[in-house]
Amino acid sequence: MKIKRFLISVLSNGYLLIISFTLVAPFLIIALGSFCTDVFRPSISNFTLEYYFELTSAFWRSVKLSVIFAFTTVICTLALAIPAAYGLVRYNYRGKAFLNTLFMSPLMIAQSSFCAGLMIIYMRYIDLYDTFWGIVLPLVVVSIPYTLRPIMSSFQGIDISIEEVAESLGANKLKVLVYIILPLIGPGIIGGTILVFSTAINVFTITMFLGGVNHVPAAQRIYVDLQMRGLNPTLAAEANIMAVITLFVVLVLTRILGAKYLKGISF
Amino acid sequence: MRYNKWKIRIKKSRKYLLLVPSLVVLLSLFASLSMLLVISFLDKDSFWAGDYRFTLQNYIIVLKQSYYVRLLLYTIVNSALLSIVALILGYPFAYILARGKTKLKEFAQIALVFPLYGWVYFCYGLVYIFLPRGIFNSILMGLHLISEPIMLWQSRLFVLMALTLLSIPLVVLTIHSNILGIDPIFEDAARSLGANPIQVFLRITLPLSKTGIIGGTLIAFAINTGAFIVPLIVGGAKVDWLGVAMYLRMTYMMDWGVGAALALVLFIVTLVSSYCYSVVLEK
Repeated sequence: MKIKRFLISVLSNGYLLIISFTLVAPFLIIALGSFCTDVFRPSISNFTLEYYFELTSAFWRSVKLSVIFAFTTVICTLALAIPAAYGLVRYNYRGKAFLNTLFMSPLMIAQSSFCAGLMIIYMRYIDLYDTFWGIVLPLVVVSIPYTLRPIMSSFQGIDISIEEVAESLGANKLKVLVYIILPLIGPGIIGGTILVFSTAINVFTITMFLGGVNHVPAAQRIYVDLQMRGLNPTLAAEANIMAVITLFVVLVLTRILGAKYLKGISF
Repeated sequence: MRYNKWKIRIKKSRKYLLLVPSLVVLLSLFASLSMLLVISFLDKDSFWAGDYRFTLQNYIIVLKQSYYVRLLLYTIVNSALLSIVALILGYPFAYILARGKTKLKEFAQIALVFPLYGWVYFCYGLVYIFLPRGIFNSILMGLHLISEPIMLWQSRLFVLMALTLLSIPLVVLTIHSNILGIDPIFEDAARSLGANPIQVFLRITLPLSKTGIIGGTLIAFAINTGAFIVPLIVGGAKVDWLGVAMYLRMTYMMDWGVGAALALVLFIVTLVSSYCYSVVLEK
Protein backbone atom coordinates (compact mmCIF):
# COMPACT_ATOMS: atom_id res chain seq x y z
CA MET A 1 0.00 0.00 0.00
CA LYS A 2 2.78 2.36 0.95
CA ILE A 3 4.72 1.52 -2.17
CA LYS A 4 1.62 2.06 -4.29
CA ARG A 5 1.00 5.47 -2.75
CA PHE A 6 4.62 6.42 -3.26
CA LEU A 7 4.43 5.30 -6.88
CA ILE A 8 1.30 7.36 -7.47
CA SER A 9 2.85 10.47 -5.96
CA VAL A 10 6.03 10.01 -8.02
CA LEU A 11 4.02 9.54 -11.19
CA SER A 12 1.72 12.49 -10.64
CA ASN A 13 4.53 14.78 -9.57
CA GLY A 14 6.60 13.65 -12.51
CA TYR A 15 3.78 14.29 -14.94
CA LEU A 16 3.17 17.77 -13.56
CA LEU A 17 6.88 18.52 -13.76
CA ILE A 18 7.31 17.27 -17.33
CA ILE A 19 4.37 19.19 -18.77
CA SER A 20 5.12 22.35 -16.78
CA PHE A 21 8.73 22.22 -17.84
CA THR A 22 7.76 21.78 -21.49
CA LEU A 23 5.56 24.83 -21.24
CA VAL A 24 8.25 26.95 -19.60
CA ALA A 25 11.30 25.64 -21.49
CA PRO A 26 10.96 27.91 -24.57
CA PHE A 27 11.04 30.96 -22.31
CA LEU A 28 14.12 29.66 -20.51
CA ILE A 29 15.84 29.06 -23.84
CA ILE A 30 15.08 32.60 -24.98
CA ALA A 31 16.45 34.02 -21.73
CA LEU A 32 19.59 31.86 -21.88
CA GLY A 33 20.11 32.61 -25.54
CA SER A 34 20.01 36.33 -24.95
CA PHE A 35 22.57 36.26 -22.15
CA CYS A 36 25.15 33.83 -23.57
CA THR A 37 27.44 34.14 -26.55
CA ASP A 38 26.74 30.52 -27.47
CA VAL A 39 23.09 29.67 -27.16
CA PHE A 40 23.75 25.98 -27.42
CA ARG A 41 26.38 25.70 -24.69
CA PRO A 42 25.30 28.19 -22.06
CA SER A 43 27.54 28.69 -19.05
CA ILE A 44 28.75 31.50 -16.82
CA SER A 45 31.99 31.83 -18.79
CA ASN A 46 30.23 33.05 -21.90
CA PHE A 47 27.78 35.29 -20.11
CA THR A 48 27.32 38.55 -21.95
CA LEU A 49 25.04 41.52 -22.15
CA GLU A 50 26.22 42.70 -25.54
CA TYR A 51 23.07 41.64 -27.37
CA TYR A 52 21.06 44.00 -25.26
CA PHE A 53 23.28 46.88 -26.32
CA GLU A 54 23.00 45.83 -29.95
CA LEU A 55 19.23 46.28 -30.05
CA THR A 56 18.26 48.60 -32.84
CA SER A 57 16.47 51.86 -32.33
CA ALA A 58 13.71 50.48 -34.56
CA PHE A 59 13.04 47.82 -31.96
CA TRP A 60 12.86 50.35 -29.12
CA ARG A 61 10.48 52.45 -31.18
CA SER A 62 8.32 49.34 -31.59
CA VAL A 63 8.36 48.67 -27.86
CA LYS A 64 7.30 52.23 -27.23
CA LEU A 65 4.50 51.85 -29.74
CA SER A 66 3.35 48.59 -28.13
CA VAL A 67 3.22 50.21 -24.70
CA ILE A 68 1.29 53.19 -26.06
CA PHE A 69 -1.12 50.80 -27.78
CA ALA A 70 -1.59 48.91 -24.53
CA PHE A 71 -2.30 52.02 -22.43
CA THR A 72 -4.63 53.56 -25.01
CA THR A 73 -6.55 50.32 -25.36
CA VAL A 74 -6.91 49.95 -21.60
CA ILE A 75 -8.23 53.48 -21.17
CA CYS A 76 -10.65 53.28 -24.10
CA THR A 77 -11.90 49.82 -23.16
CA LEU A 78 -12.53 50.80 -19.54
CA ALA A 79 -14.34 53.96 -20.61
CA LEU A 80 -16.66 51.83 -22.74
CA ALA A 81 -16.97 48.76 -20.56
CA ILE A 82 -17.72 50.28 -17.14
CA PRO A 83 -20.97 52.02 -18.21
CA ALA A 84 -21.98 49.00 -20.28
CA ALA A 85 -21.37 46.62 -17.38
CA TYR A 86 -23.29 48.92 -15.03
CA GLY A 87 -26.22 49.01 -17.43
CA LEU A 88 -26.25 45.28 -18.08
CA VAL A 89 -26.25 44.47 -14.37
CA ARG A 90 -28.52 47.20 -13.01
CA TYR A 91 -31.20 47.66 -15.66
CA ASN A 92 -33.53 45.44 -17.61
CA TYR A 93 -33.37 45.66 -21.34
CA ARG A 94 -35.49 44.07 -23.97
CA GLY A 95 -33.51 41.11 -25.27
CA LYS A 96 -30.94 41.12 -22.50
CA ALA A 97 -29.65 37.65 -23.27
CA PHE A 98 -29.03 38.74 -26.83
CA LEU A 99 -27.19 41.85 -25.61
CA ASN A 100 -25.01 39.73 -23.37
CA THR A 101 -24.11 37.46 -26.27
CA LEU A 102 -23.48 40.49 -28.44
CA PHE A 103 -20.98 41.91 -26.00
CA MET A 104 -19.19 38.58 -25.72
CA SER A 105 -19.19 38.01 -29.49
CA PRO A 106 -15.66 39.33 -30.16
CA LEU A 107 -14.37 36.32 -28.25
CA MET A 108 -16.17 33.94 -30.58
CA ILE A 109 -14.81 35.27 -33.84
CA ALA A 110 -11.45 34.50 -35.37
CA GLN A 111 -9.44 37.69 -35.07
CA SER A 112 -7.92 37.20 -38.50
CA SER A 113 -11.22 37.22 -40.36
CA PHE A 114 -12.41 40.27 -38.42
CA CYS A 115 -9.23 42.10 -39.36
CA ALA A 116 -9.48 41.00 -42.99
CA GLY A 117 -12.88 42.62 -43.30
CA LEU A 118 -11.69 45.77 -41.58
CA MET A 119 -8.71 45.94 -43.92
CA ILE A 120 -11.00 46.12 -46.95
CA ILE A 121 -13.11 48.83 -45.31
CA TYR A 122 -10.04 50.85 -44.36
CA MET A 123 -8.52 50.62 -47.81
CA ARG A 124 -11.64 51.35 -49.79
CA TYR A 125 -13.94 53.54 -47.69
CA ILE A 126 -12.45 55.03 -44.52
CA ASP A 127 -8.86 56.12 -44.70
CA LEU A 128 -7.69 54.48 -41.49
CA TYR A 129 -5.19 51.96 -42.87
CA ASP A 130 -1.86 52.16 -41.06
CA THR A 131 -3.07 54.79 -38.60
CA PHE A 132 -2.92 54.67 -34.83
CA TRP A 133 -6.67 54.82 -34.23
CA GLY A 134 -7.34 52.38 -37.01
CA ILE A 135 -5.40 49.80 -35.01
CA VAL A 136 -6.77 50.82 -31.62
CA LEU A 137 -10.37 50.32 -32.79
CA PRO A 138 -10.16 46.54 -33.36
CA LEU A 139 -7.98 46.22 -30.27
CA VAL A 140 -10.74 47.81 -28.19
CA VAL A 141 -13.39 45.63 -29.81
CA VAL A 142 -11.44 42.50 -29.01
CA SER A 143 -10.75 43.69 -25.46
CA ILE A 144 -14.29 44.65 -24.44
CA PRO A 145 -15.34 41.12 -23.37
CA TYR A 146 -12.19 40.73 -21.26
CA THR A 147 -13.02 43.78 -19.16
CA LEU A 148 -16.76 43.38 -19.25
CA ARG A 149 -16.82 39.96 -17.61
CA PRO A 150 -14.83 40.76 -14.45
CA ILE A 151 -16.46 44.19 -14.04
CA MET A 152 -19.93 42.70 -14.43
CA SER A 153 -19.22 40.11 -11.79
CA SER A 154 -17.98 42.89 -9.49
CA PHE A 155 -21.18 44.84 -10.02
CA GLN A 156 -23.21 41.75 -9.24
CA GLY A 157 -21.44 41.61 -5.90
CA ILE A 158 -22.44 45.15 -4.89
CA ASP A 159 -25.70 45.73 -3.10
CA ILE A 160 -27.70 48.42 -4.88
CA SER A 161 -28.82 49.82 -1.52
CA ILE A 162 -25.31 51.14 -0.91
CA GLU A 163 -25.74 53.55 -3.81
CA GLU A 164 -29.21 54.48 -2.64
CA VAL A 165 -27.99 55.20 0.88
CA ALA A 166 -25.27 57.47 -0.45
CA GLU A 167 -27.77 59.30 -2.62
CA SER A 168 -30.26 59.69 0.20
CA LEU A 169 -27.52 61.15 2.35
CA GLY A 170 -27.09 63.89 -0.20
CA ALA A 171 -24.32 62.69 -2.51
CA ASN A 172 -24.78 63.61 -6.15
CA LYS A 173 -24.33 61.12 -8.99
CA LEU A 174 -20.69 62.01 -9.56
CA LYS A 175 -19.84 61.60 -5.91
CA VAL A 176 -21.55 58.21 -5.82
CA LEU A 177 -19.53 57.16 -8.86
CA VAL A 178 -16.18 58.30 -7.51
CA TYR A 179 -16.55 57.40 -3.84
CA ILE A 180 -18.83 54.36 -3.94
CA ILE A 181 -18.96 52.56 -7.26
CA LEU A 182 -15.40 52.80 -8.53
CA PRO A 183 -13.73 51.63 -5.30
CA LEU A 184 -16.14 48.72 -5.03
CA ILE A 185 -15.57 47.45 -8.54
CA GLY A 186 -11.83 48.04 -8.20
CA PRO A 187 -10.86 44.36 -8.30
CA GLY A 188 -12.87 43.79 -11.46
CA ILE A 189 -11.30 46.81 -13.13
CA ILE A 190 -7.81 45.68 -12.20
CA GLY A 191 -8.44 42.14 -13.41
CA GLY A 192 -9.76 43.37 -16.72
CA THR A 193 -6.95 45.87 -17.08
CA ILE A 194 -4.28 43.23 -16.62
CA LEU A 195 -5.90 40.98 -19.21
CA VAL A 196 -6.30 43.76 -21.74
CA PHE A 197 -2.86 45.22 -21.17
CA SER A 198 -1.11 41.89 -21.62
CA THR A 199 -2.99 41.08 -24.82
CA ALA A 200 -2.75 44.58 -26.27
CA ILE A 201 0.99 44.88 -25.69
CA ASN A 202 1.45 41.74 -27.80
CA VAL A 203 -0.76 42.97 -30.62
CA PHE A 204 0.26 41.10 -33.75
CA THR A 205 -2.63 39.74 -35.83
CA ILE A 206 -4.30 43.13 -36.01
CA THR A 207 -1.22 44.99 -37.16
CA MET A 208 -0.36 42.27 -39.67
CA PHE A 209 -3.57 43.16 -41.48
CA LEU A 210 -4.14 46.80 -40.62
CA GLY A 211 -0.72 48.28 -39.94
CA GLY A 212 1.78 49.19 -42.59
CA VAL A 213 5.40 50.19 -42.12
CA ASN A 214 4.58 53.04 -39.77
CA HIS A 215 2.96 50.95 -37.06
CA VAL A 216 5.00 47.87 -36.27
CA PRO A 217 4.58 46.77 -32.64
CA ALA A 218 7.29 44.84 -30.85
CA ALA A 219 5.88 41.35 -31.35
CA GLN A 220 5.70 41.95 -35.06
CA ARG A 221 9.11 43.66 -35.18
CA ILE A 222 10.66 40.43 -33.91
CA TYR A 223 8.93 38.54 -36.71
CA VAL A 224 10.16 41.06 -39.28
CA ASP A 225 13.70 40.73 -37.93
CA LEU A 226 13.38 36.96 -38.12
CA GLN A 227 12.51 37.27 -41.79
CA MET A 228 15.26 39.78 -42.55
CA ARG A 229 18.22 38.52 -40.57
CA GLY A 230 17.38 34.97 -39.56
CA LEU A 231 17.65 33.68 -36.03
CA ASN A 232 20.34 35.34 -33.97
CA PRO A 233 20.92 36.11 -30.28
CA THR A 234 19.73 39.71 -30.73
CA LEU A 235 16.36 38.28 -31.63
CA ALA A 236 16.38 36.27 -28.42
CA ALA A 237 17.13 39.45 -26.48
CA GLU A 238 14.21 41.22 -28.13
CA ALA A 239 11.84 38.33 -27.45
CA ASN A 240 13.10 38.08 -23.89
CA ILE A 241 12.41 41.74 -23.14
CA MET A 242 8.84 41.48 -24.38
CA ALA A 243 8.21 38.15 -22.66
CA VAL A 244 9.49 39.57 -19.37
CA ILE A 245 7.27 42.64 -19.64
CA THR A 246 4.19 40.53 -20.44
CA LEU A 247 4.79 37.94 -17.76
CA PHE A 248 5.65 40.62 -15.21
CA VAL A 249 2.31 42.27 -15.80
CA VAL A 250 0.42 38.99 -15.63
CA LEU A 251 2.25 37.12 -12.90
CA VAL A 252 3.50 39.78 -10.52
CA LEU A 253 0.59 42.18 -10.75
CA THR A 254 -2.01 39.44 -10.41
CA ARG A 255 -0.07 37.98 -7.50
CA ILE A 256 -0.18 41.36 -5.79
CA LEU A 257 -3.70 42.30 -6.76
CA GLY A 258 -5.34 38.89 -6.49
CA ALA A 259 -5.51 36.05 -8.98
CA LYS A 260 -9.28 35.90 -9.17
CA TYR A 261 -9.68 36.94 -12.77
CA LEU A 262 -6.83 35.15 -14.46
CA LYS A 263 -8.69 33.68 -17.39
CA GLY A 264 -9.25 34.30 -21.04
CA ILE A 265 -6.99 34.52 -24.02
CA SER A 266 -6.95 35.33 -27.69
CA PHE A 267 -4.75 33.76 -30.31
CA MET B 1 -47.93 67.88 -19.34
CA ARG B 2 -46.21 67.32 -22.62
CA TYR B 3 -42.94 68.29 -21.05
CA ASN B 4 -43.36 65.69 -18.34
CA LYS B 5 -44.05 62.99 -20.86
CA TRP B 6 -40.83 63.79 -22.63
CA LYS B 7 -38.98 63.88 -19.38
CA ILE B 8 -40.17 60.42 -18.50
CA ARG B 9 -39.26 59.16 -21.92
CA ILE B 10 -35.75 60.59 -21.65
CA LYS B 11 -35.37 59.12 -18.21
CA LYS B 12 -36.48 55.75 -19.55
CA SER B 13 -34.13 55.82 -22.50
CA ARG B 14 -31.21 56.96 -20.39
CA LYS B 15 -30.32 53.41 -19.53
CA TYR B 16 -29.70 52.77 -23.22
CA LEU B 17 -27.14 55.57 -23.26
CA LEU B 18 -24.92 53.41 -21.07
CA LEU B 19 -24.70 50.78 -23.79
CA VAL B 20 -24.59 52.98 -26.86
CA PRO B 21 -20.85 53.82 -26.97
CA SER B 22 -19.71 50.23 -26.75
CA LEU B 23 -22.38 49.09 -29.19
CA VAL B 24 -21.13 51.67 -31.67
CA VAL B 25 -17.61 50.28 -31.35
CA LEU B 26 -18.90 46.73 -31.69
CA LEU B 27 -20.62 47.83 -34.87
CA SER B 28 -17.23 47.63 -36.60
CA LEU B 29 -17.36 43.88 -36.05
CA PHE B 30 -20.55 43.61 -38.05
CA ALA B 31 -19.37 46.12 -40.61
CA SER B 32 -16.31 43.98 -41.15
CA LEU B 33 -18.29 40.76 -41.47
CA SER B 34 -20.84 42.20 -43.85
CA MET B 35 -18.00 43.66 -45.89
CA LEU B 36 -16.53 40.18 -46.16
CA LEU B 37 -19.89 38.77 -47.13
CA VAL B 38 -20.44 41.38 -49.84
CA ILE B 39 -16.97 41.22 -51.26
CA SER B 40 -16.93 37.44 -51.42
CA PHE B 41 -19.81 37.66 -53.90
CA LEU B 42 -18.27 40.45 -55.98
CA ASP B 43 -16.33 40.22 -59.17
CA LYS B 44 -12.63 40.89 -58.55
CA ASP B 45 -12.20 43.94 -60.79
CA SER B 46 -15.66 45.42 -60.48
CA PHE B 47 -15.07 46.40 -56.85
CA TRP B 48 -12.27 48.79 -57.73
CA ALA B 49 -14.00 49.99 -60.87
CA GLY B 50 -17.01 50.97 -58.79
CA ASP B 51 -19.69 49.01 -60.64
CA TYR B 52 -20.61 46.16 -58.40
CA ARG B 53 -21.14 42.98 -60.37
CA PHE B 54 -22.23 40.04 -58.31
CA THR B 55 -20.85 36.61 -59.02
CA LEU B 56 -20.39 33.25 -57.38
CA GLN B 57 -16.98 32.86 -58.92
CA ASN B 58 -15.01 33.21 -55.69
CA TYR B 59 -16.84 30.38 -54.02
CA ILE B 60 -16.52 28.29 -57.15
CA ILE B 61 -12.77 28.85 -57.05
CA VAL B 62 -12.64 27.85 -53.39
CA LEU B 63 -14.71 24.74 -53.93
CA LYS B 64 -13.30 23.70 -57.28
CA GLN B 65 -9.57 24.11 -56.75
CA SER B 66 -8.56 21.03 -54.87
CA TYR B 67 -5.90 23.10 -53.09
CA TYR B 68 -8.48 25.05 -51.09
CA VAL B 69 -10.64 22.06 -50.30
CA ARG B 70 -7.62 20.15 -49.10
CA LEU B 71 -6.47 23.18 -47.11
CA LEU B 72 -9.82 23.49 -45.44
CA LEU B 73 -10.03 19.83 -44.59
CA TYR B 74 -6.41 19.78 -43.49
CA THR B 75 -6.94 22.70 -41.09
CA ILE B 76 -10.18 21.42 -39.60
CA VAL B 77 -9.16 17.76 -39.27
CA ASN B 78 -5.79 18.64 -37.82
CA SER B 79 -7.09 21.15 -35.33
CA ALA B 80 -9.67 18.61 -34.20
CA LEU B 81 -6.97 15.97 -33.83
CA LEU B 82 -4.58 18.18 -31.95
CA SER B 83 -7.30 19.43 -29.64
CA ILE B 84 -7.90 15.81 -28.72
CA VAL B 85 -4.17 15.25 -28.20
CA ALA B 86 -4.11 18.36 -26.01
CA LEU B 87 -7.07 16.95 -24.11
CA ILE B 88 -5.31 13.65 -23.53
CA LEU B 89 -2.19 15.44 -22.34
CA GLY B 90 -4.11 18.04 -20.37
CA TYR B 91 -6.71 15.97 -18.58
CA PRO B 92 -4.31 14.16 -16.21
CA PHE B 93 -2.63 17.49 -15.57
CA ALA B 94 -5.91 19.15 -14.63
CA TYR B 95 -6.96 16.16 -12.56
CA ILE B 96 -3.72 16.09 -10.58
CA LEU B 97 -3.92 19.86 -10.15
CA ALA B 98 -7.45 19.65 -8.80
CA ARG B 99 -7.41 16.45 -6.76
CA GLY B 100 -3.81 15.31 -6.27
CA LYS B 101 -1.71 15.93 -3.21
CA THR B 102 1.43 17.55 -4.56
CA LYS B 103 3.57 20.47 -3.58
CA LEU B 104 4.01 21.47 -7.21
CA LYS B 105 0.56 22.98 -7.64
CA GLU B 106 1.73 26.56 -7.37
CA PHE B 107 4.54 25.99 -9.85
CA ALA B 108 2.28 24.17 -12.29
CA GLN B 109 -0.28 26.95 -12.21
CA ILE B 110 2.36 29.57 -12.91
CA ALA B 111 3.75 27.41 -15.72
CA LEU B 112 0.33 27.41 -17.38
CA VAL B 113 0.31 31.20 -17.48
CA PHE B 114 3.55 31.40 -19.48
CA PRO B 115 2.24 30.07 -22.83
CA LEU B 116 -1.21 31.54 -22.21
CA TYR B 117 -0.04 35.13 -22.33
CA GLY B 118 3.39 34.96 -23.92
CA TRP B 119 2.40 32.65 -26.74
CA VAL B 120 4.21 34.73 -29.36
CA TYR B 121 7.47 34.35 -27.47
CA PHE B 122 6.68 30.70 -26.77
CA CYS B 123 6.82 30.19 -30.53
CA TYR B 124 10.16 31.96 -30.87
CA GLY B 125 11.51 29.80 -28.04
CA LEU B 126 10.29 26.63 -29.72
CA VAL B 127 12.05 27.66 -32.91
CA TYR B 128 15.25 28.13 -30.91
CA ILE B 129 15.00 24.72 -29.32
CA PHE B 130 14.44 22.88 -32.59
CA LEU B 131 16.99 24.65 -34.76
CA PRO B 132 19.35 22.27 -36.61
CA ARG B 133 22.08 23.27 -34.15
CA GLY B 134 19.64 23.68 -31.28
CA ILE B 135 19.42 21.97 -27.93
CA PHE B 136 17.01 19.26 -29.07
CA ASN B 137 19.18 18.14 -31.96
CA SER B 138 22.44 18.38 -30.05
CA ILE B 139 21.06 16.21 -27.23
CA LEU B 140 19.80 13.57 -29.64
CA MET B 141 23.05 13.63 -31.57
CA GLY B 142 25.05 13.45 -28.37
CA LEU B 143 23.14 10.29 -27.50
CA HIS B 144 23.82 8.94 -31.02
CA LEU B 145 20.11 8.47 -31.61
CA ILE B 146 20.23 10.36 -34.88
CA SER B 147 23.15 11.00 -37.20
CA GLU B 148 21.78 14.10 -38.89
CA PRO B 149 19.88 16.97 -37.29
CA ILE B 150 16.12 16.82 -37.74
CA MET B 151 14.86 19.86 -39.61
CA LEU B 152 11.63 20.68 -37.84
CA TRP B 153 11.42 24.43 -38.35
CA GLN B 154 9.05 25.37 -41.16
CA SER B 155 7.62 21.89 -41.35
CA ARG B 156 3.99 20.87 -40.97
CA LEU B 157 4.68 18.66 -37.99
CA PHE B 158 6.23 21.56 -36.11
CA VAL B 159 3.13 23.71 -36.56
CA LEU B 160 0.94 20.94 -35.19
CA MET B 161 3.29 20.46 -32.27
CA ALA B 162 3.35 24.14 -31.37
CA LEU B 163 -0.43 24.42 -31.57
CA THR B 164 -0.86 21.33 -29.39
CA LEU B 165 1.46 22.69 -26.73
CA LEU B 166 -0.31 26.05 -26.80
CA SER B 167 -3.73 24.41 -26.42
CA ILE B 168 -2.73 22.52 -23.27
CA PRO B 169 -3.22 25.51 -20.91
CA LEU B 170 -6.65 26.24 -22.38
CA VAL B 171 -7.80 22.67 -21.95
CA VAL B 172 -6.29 22.41 -18.48
CA LEU B 173 -7.88 25.63 -17.21
CA THR B 174 -11.34 24.64 -18.46
CA ILE B 175 -11.19 21.11 -17.04
CA HIS B 176 -9.52 22.25 -13.82
CA SER B 177 -12.31 24.65 -12.92
CA ASN B 178 -14.82 21.98 -13.89
CA ILE B 179 -13.29 19.31 -11.65
CA LEU B 180 -13.01 21.79 -8.79
CA GLY B 181 -16.74 22.32 -9.15
CA ILE B 182 -17.48 18.62 -8.56
CA ASP B 183 -18.35 17.98 -4.96
CA PRO B 184 -15.76 15.50 -3.58
CA ILE B 185 -18.58 13.97 -1.57
CA PHE B 186 -19.58 11.89 -4.62
CA GLU B 187 -16.14 10.41 -4.86
CA ASP B 188 -16.00 9.78 -1.13
CA ALA B 189 -19.38 8.04 -1.24
CA ALA B 190 -18.26 5.75 -4.06
CA ARG B 191 -15.05 4.98 -2.18
CA SER B 192 -16.89 4.17 1.03
CA LEU B 193 -19.17 1.84 -0.93
CA GLY B 194 -16.13 -0.16 -1.90
CA ALA B 195 -15.14 1.15 -5.31
CA ASN B 196 -11.44 1.12 -6.05
CA PRO B 197 -9.73 4.35 -7.22
CA ILE B 198 -9.93 3.38 -10.90
CA GLN B 199 -13.64 2.68 -10.64
CA VAL B 200 -14.17 5.97 -8.81
CA PHE B 201 -12.38 7.81 -11.55
CA LEU B 202 -14.06 6.04 -14.47
CA ARG B 203 -17.58 6.01 -13.13
CA ILE B 204 -17.77 9.19 -11.03
CA THR B 205 -15.15 11.81 -11.88
CA LEU B 206 -14.89 11.26 -15.61
CA PRO B 207 -18.63 11.42 -16.36
CA LEU B 208 -19.06 14.44 -14.07
CA SER B 209 -16.26 16.32 -15.80
CA LYS B 210 -17.85 15.80 -19.21
CA THR B 211 -18.68 19.50 -19.55
CA GLY B 212 -15.10 20.46 -18.96
CA ILE B 213 -13.85 17.90 -21.44
CA ILE B 214 -16.20 19.01 -24.21
CA GLY B 215 -15.72 22.69 -23.44
CA GLY B 216 -11.95 22.46 -23.31
CA THR B 217 -11.76 20.56 -26.58
CA LEU B 218 -14.13 22.97 -28.30
CA ILE B 219 -12.29 26.09 -27.23
CA ALA B 220 -8.98 24.55 -28.28
CA PHE B 221 -10.54 23.60 -31.62
CA ALA B 222 -11.93 27.09 -32.21
CA ILE B 223 -8.64 28.76 -31.41
CA ASN B 224 -6.56 26.30 -33.41
CA THR B 225 -8.72 26.64 -36.50
CA GLY B 226 -8.49 30.40 -36.30
CA ALA B 227 -4.76 30.33 -35.55
CA PHE B 228 -2.78 32.67 -37.72
CA ILE B 229 0.33 33.95 -35.98
CA VAL B 230 1.52 30.61 -34.64
CA PRO B 231 1.62 28.83 -38.03
CA LEU B 232 3.19 31.92 -39.53
CA ILE B 233 6.09 32.10 -37.05
CA VAL B 234 6.65 28.40 -36.63
CA GLY B 235 5.83 27.20 -40.10
CA GLY B 236 6.81 30.08 -42.31
CA ALA B 237 4.56 31.38 -45.06
CA LYS B 238 4.71 28.12 -46.99
CA VAL B 239 2.85 26.06 -44.42
CA ASP B 240 -0.80 25.27 -45.04
CA TRP B 241 -3.15 26.76 -42.52
CA LEU B 242 -6.40 28.41 -43.35
CA GLY B 243 -5.59 31.71 -41.65
CA VAL B 244 -2.18 31.99 -43.30
CA ALA B 245 -3.54 31.17 -46.76
CA MET B 246 -6.26 33.76 -46.26
CA TYR B 247 -3.71 36.37 -45.22
CA LEU B 248 -1.53 35.71 -48.25
CA ARG B 249 -4.52 35.90 -50.59
CA MET B 250 -5.64 39.15 -49.01
CA THR B 251 -2.34 40.99 -48.81
CA TYR B 252 0.26 39.71 -51.23
CA MET B 253 -2.03 38.58 -54.03
CA MET B 254 -4.64 41.29 -53.40
CA ASP B 255 -7.28 38.75 -54.36
CA TRP B 256 -9.92 39.97 -51.95
CA GLY B 257 -12.80 37.93 -53.29
CA VAL B 258 -11.25 34.53 -52.64
CA GLY B 259 -9.63 35.83 -49.45
CA ALA B 260 -13.00 37.01 -48.17
CA ALA B 261 -14.59 33.67 -49.00
CA LEU B 262 -11.85 31.90 -47.01
CA ALA B 263 -12.21 34.39 -44.14
CA LEU B 264 -15.95 33.73 -44.01
CA VAL B 265 -15.43 29.99 -43.88
CA LEU B 266 -12.94 30.53 -41.07
CA PHE B 267 -15.40 32.82 -39.32
CA ILE B 268 -18.24 30.32 -39.53
CA VAL B 269 -16.16 27.40 -38.25
CA THR B 270 -14.83 29.34 -35.26
CA LEU B 271 -18.19 30.92 -34.50
CA VAL B 272 -20.02 27.59 -34.45
CA SER B 273 -17.46 25.89 -32.25
CA SER B 274 -17.17 28.80 -29.80
CA TYR B 275 -20.93 29.11 -29.64
CA CYS B 276 -21.15 25.40 -28.80
CA TYR B 277 -18.47 26.05 -26.17
CA SER B 278 -20.49 28.76 -24.46
CA VAL B 279 -23.66 26.66 -24.63
CA VAL B 280 -21.91 23.64 -23.15
CA LEU B 281 -20.35 25.62 -20.33
CA GLU B 282 -23.53 27.44 -19.37
CA LYS B 283 -25.54 24.24 -18.95
